[in-house]
Amino acid sequence: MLGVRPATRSARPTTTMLRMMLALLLVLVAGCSSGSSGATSEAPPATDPSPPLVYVAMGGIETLNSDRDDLPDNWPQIVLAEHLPAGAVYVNLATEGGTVKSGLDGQLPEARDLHATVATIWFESADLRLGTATRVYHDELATLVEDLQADGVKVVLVRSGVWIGDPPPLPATVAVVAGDTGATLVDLGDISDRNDDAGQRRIATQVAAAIGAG
Amino acid sequence: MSWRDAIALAVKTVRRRPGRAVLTVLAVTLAASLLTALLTISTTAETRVLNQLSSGGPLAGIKVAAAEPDPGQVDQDNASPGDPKSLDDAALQRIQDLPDVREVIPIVSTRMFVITRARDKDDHRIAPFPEDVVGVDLTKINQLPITLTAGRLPTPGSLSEVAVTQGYLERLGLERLDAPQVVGTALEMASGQVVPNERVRGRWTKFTIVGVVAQEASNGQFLASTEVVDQARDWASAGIDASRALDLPTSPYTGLFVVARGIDNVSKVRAQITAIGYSTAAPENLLASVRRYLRVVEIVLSAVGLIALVVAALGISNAMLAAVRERRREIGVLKAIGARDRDVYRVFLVEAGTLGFLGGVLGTALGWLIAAMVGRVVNGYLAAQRLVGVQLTLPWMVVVGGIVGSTVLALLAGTLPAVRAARLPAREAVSGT
Repeated sequence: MLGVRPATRSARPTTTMLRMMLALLLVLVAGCSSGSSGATSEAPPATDPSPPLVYVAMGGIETLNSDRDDLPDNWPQIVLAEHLPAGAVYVNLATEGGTVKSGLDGQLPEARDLHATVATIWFESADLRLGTATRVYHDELATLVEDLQADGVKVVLVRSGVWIGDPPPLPATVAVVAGDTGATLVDLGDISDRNDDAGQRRIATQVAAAIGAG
Repeated sequence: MSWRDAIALAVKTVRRRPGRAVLTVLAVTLAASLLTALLTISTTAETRVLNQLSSGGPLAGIKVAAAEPDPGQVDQDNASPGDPKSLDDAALQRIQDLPDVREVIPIVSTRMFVITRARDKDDHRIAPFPEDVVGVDLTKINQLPITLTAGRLPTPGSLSEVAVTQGYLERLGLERLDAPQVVGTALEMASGQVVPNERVRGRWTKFTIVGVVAQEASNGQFLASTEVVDQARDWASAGIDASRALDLPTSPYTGLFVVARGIDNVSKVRAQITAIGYSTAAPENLLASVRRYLRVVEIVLSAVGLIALVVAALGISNAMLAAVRERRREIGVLKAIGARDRDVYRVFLVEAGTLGFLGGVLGTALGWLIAAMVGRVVNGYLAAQRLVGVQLTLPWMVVVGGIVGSTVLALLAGTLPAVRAARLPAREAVSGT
């Protein structure tokens, strides 16, 4: 090796610099290797482990509301929209001239097919109009409620009316059946505003509270 | 003087002037890192992204409709479907069995009646409306051409969540940027069932809107799990004379999304599905355009990196010229004790090469780190969109090119100073004149 001028400066800073460079290189390489794995999106977890809440509205025209135009403001629809959780299912099984008998024969099997978990029952005007005997009304309504309850359905009985003194026989029977079966009773009182949106909302609020979804 | 002596001398010289050496190496490092990062990103964009998408992504996807094919559809991205034709399990299996088909994702849809409690921008209520709900297997959502603009997609199998499309926002009079406003709101949707007395009974379900998507997997403003659509269809079909009364679709599947094994097989698979007898659509022309644009981007980015590297090489040249001027006496001493011109030339060239090599190695590593960080950001975004992430790889050509290129450029940049140093007469050099 040819003789050259010896380094006049200390070798220590230079060595330190080279070490730092080496360390930097190692850090960079380590960073590269850890950053090389590409991220892929994970499959989102499955949900809805519990069975959905299935609400069936049984009854006559008071529940069907076929005499009203505004579907979104019908009381069972408001119960679904504003009081039941997402994923809840609602089917209105009511018929225009629905009586307790028709409920027992037609609506009950449908409620079972739907695996209902909550049911509201409001048979009133058609039975009043047809003059259904109180005893028959009681027995059929009680059977309807008990059959639903036997399937684990939470039953809410609804009645309306404003009376002076004792209620007429059929509305009074609803309360008796509720007492006999343990079903929840919703006493709406005066429903002369039933065709109004405000009246529907009032009914929805009371029914939702009885369902326990309020 | 041997090469070994030259290298030892060059290293000693570098160590004697650490400040200048570090700055010179830093310039090369930055230039090389820029070139490496740009090339890695652009190469990944072209090869990895396209290939990954093609091996299970939207770009390799072919939409198959439940309809007869348009005779000229293979030449068009969006051909018009012909007459309706049932798309059933047998057809699905035939398509699945095609050799270049990676996956077949069924798409089902049904018409539902929708009530939204949202109000439009003039605070008017939105009247209930019928709309198609599209159901897909949400565990395979990564492979569908669906992009979120807000929120998230429904969870697989969910019976309570839906995503909405741009069409729903338009119905509410909202702009695309307003998408987050609808996330978390609820709506009620029903499928109809014809019951006696010509009445239609609805099976209503309350849904939460969990996201907004930019595209539609099929026609319809709502995207849900297959289970939602299946339940709605089952309900409707259980009614009286359902298909006639409610104009229900007769095809079990509304469409299929067929993923080919690679982009290059899209045309072939499309032709095979057409031969089976179904209408198809695929973004083939779009894909070709994307490839062309990516190539242009790669060229531009490479040019930017190369310019940076040339600037760094000029920096090396400048530093070496300054070194020659400073080290005239040292050169003179070298020559006085017997060093030949080529020995001096070799010392300076090795010094320049060492700086270039160090800068190249550090720059390539730094460039890869930058590219990896960019890749992570991109993958984070893709993951949020429930899309397949890209796996960043450093092409060996870029590694070799970065290190060798930096070294070669440094050697070229050091040639002139080395020649000057070598040709310096010994007497002048020693006297410093």
